[in-house]
Amino acid sequence: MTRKWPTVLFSIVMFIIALLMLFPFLLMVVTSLKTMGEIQSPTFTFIPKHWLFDNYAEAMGRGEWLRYFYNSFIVTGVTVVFSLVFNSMAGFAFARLRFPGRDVLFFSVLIGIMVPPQATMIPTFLMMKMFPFFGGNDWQGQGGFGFINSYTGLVLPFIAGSFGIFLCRQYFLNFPRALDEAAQIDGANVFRVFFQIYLPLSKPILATLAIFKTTATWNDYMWPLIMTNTEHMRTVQLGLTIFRSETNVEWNLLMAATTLVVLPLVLLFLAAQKYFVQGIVTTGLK
Amino acid sequence: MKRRKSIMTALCVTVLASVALTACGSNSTEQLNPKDNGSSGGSKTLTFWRAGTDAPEKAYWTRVIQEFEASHPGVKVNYSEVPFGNDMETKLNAAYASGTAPDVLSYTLASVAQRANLGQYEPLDAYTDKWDGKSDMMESVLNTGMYKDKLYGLGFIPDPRVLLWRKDLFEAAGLDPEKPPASWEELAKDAELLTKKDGNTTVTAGLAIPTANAWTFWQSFVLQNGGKIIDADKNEPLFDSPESIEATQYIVDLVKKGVTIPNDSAKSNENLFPNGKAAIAYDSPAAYVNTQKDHPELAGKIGVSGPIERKTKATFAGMRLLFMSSQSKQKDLAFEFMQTVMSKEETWNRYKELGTPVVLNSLKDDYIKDKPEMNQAVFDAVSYGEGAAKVTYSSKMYEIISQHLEAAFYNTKSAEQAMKDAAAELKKELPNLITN
Repeated sequence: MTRKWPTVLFSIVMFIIALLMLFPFLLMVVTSLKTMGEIQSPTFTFIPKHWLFDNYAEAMGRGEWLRYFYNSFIVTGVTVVFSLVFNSMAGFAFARLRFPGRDVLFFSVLIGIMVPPQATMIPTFLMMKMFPFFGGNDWQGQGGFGFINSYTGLVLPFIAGSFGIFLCRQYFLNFPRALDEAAQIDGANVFRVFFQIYLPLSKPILATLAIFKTTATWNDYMWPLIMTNTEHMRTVQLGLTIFRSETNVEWNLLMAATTLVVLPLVLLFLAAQKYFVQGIVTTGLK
Repeated sequence: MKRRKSIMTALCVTVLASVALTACGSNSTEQLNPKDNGSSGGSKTLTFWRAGTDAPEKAYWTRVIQEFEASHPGVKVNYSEVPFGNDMETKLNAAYASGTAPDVLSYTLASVAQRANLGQYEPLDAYTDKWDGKSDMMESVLNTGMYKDKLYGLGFIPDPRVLLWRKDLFEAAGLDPEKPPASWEELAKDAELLTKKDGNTTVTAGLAIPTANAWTFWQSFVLQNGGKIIDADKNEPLFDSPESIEATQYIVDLVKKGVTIPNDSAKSNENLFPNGKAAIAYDSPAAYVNTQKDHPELAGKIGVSGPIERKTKATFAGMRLLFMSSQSKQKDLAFEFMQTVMSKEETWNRYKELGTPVVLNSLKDDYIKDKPEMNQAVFDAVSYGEGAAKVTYSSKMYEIISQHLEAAFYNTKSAEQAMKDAAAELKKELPNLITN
């Protein structure tokens, strides 16, 4: 009987921590159901006095939300698929193949993690604008707008990245060398080893990377802000700015829209959390 | 054989990936105005960006653009909106660096010095000299767009600070609800009387004084006391003058008496008056409108008057201006668009649709007649209001002032010392801040 006490105590502590983690989300949902008068009232009440579900309809009535969601799904989906392919292949190459300059190349990839994205934003933007033969550009990348205001411009810079390559490399390093040798004896070439042996065993790391990449792409604000110019190309994060003016923020509508914007990420995490935790543990990331 | 098959598979995947991305690009790229410098086959495309993303103003611009396109066959206006602050700055920096800046933009007064200095804004004098509407613009509004003797922007949405007061709270405190304070002394007395505290905590501010980013509030008082912020020609800070120190001391004394609730003026959700937490405030006409919208029970219970005069009539007045980009390939068309927005008809429409104060002398009488209880005070405030100083380092200067004000509010230093330290710090930083 006494042995159960530590477990109960641990559960209580974890429950309190879980509540603390959940509190901002709860606050977001209850705020989305209040009137502005109630939000700005000097006396704070957690539970709304009047449950105003109409806030959701009103929030979605502002702006082209179907289009924003469509854009975000396209951009996130394409980015995640391509990044899984490129990052896992590069990670595999760095972990399992021996070739001249491998370590120097990997070190240069690691440097990429240390450079903040703000520093590379404008140069990347210029590269997208001056991409030859696209968006009215000639072979020198002049004359047009390149990939500005296009899905390609939103996706291309993020389909491979230092973090993803590093994550996959760390995972692939855990496999025994005997696995490669056995495959080679059986006559499998390097692509077959990757696609038929390593990839099927990599579900946890791919799920982890997919969640990281989905979250980062779905929540990205600054890149779509500078890359898109028309309402038609806006993503959900840019859509949320509708509720903010120079002097005022419509918190109830903003929170209603935010709740709906966060929902796909929550569902994705719930669906893939088993692999996610497994992936984090395996790669030693914290 | 197997090796060749694998290589072929890899090549196919690469080609498919490229095709998919290319397809994404070509099919989904919104047509901007590539290669044609804004015109091709008789059609022209004008790009217009505005700072701000609120729905009412979006509806306004949608209508204006539709009418402009209808009256200019073959012209298409590409409209884009960007949130205020760092977002707009980043987007503009990227656009100017890549040569994709818009033809026309609606942006803030604070941007004039910096972007005109960088050659990003086109001087408008050559266009306005031939334009009749210039003589109808209020002098104070026209001056906001001037920098180094050239006109760079046309002010069209003023945001002056007026005195707002809650008549219901005045009445409850035994004050005449129709008589706002007329001097600094009366303001201090009324503010103390109207302040409500729970123990040592202020629950209703007698006067809404921002305790963080307080520079706009502070500037109104410095100007009213005959002070100046900076000598822009000599890059000489003037906010350590006796007039400025006296105004600072006045504000600091009120804060120390607890007449306000700590708040950050840069965070709209902390703004006391629209939140129903202050009895008196220096705030924008938008705060008057928003307060009544969010608190319908306060309709008719809010008074509006011009700022209190001490040595001179003065208040802070922000301004949104129309700028033409120096990168524009079709400047005549860009100015036609600006003229349309600045026309008498459109200025009145803007007032009716958005509630923005008028900027034309010819509309003064109609404007005041429409809502005399508010518009007289607003028009006056626009007439003598002064916005952010037009120097390239204005944001840094105001950041320094706000930090030192905060130190004085929280007893770290005296008001006099705070202003002297702020001036000394700016002087020290100036060599790194001045760009020519």
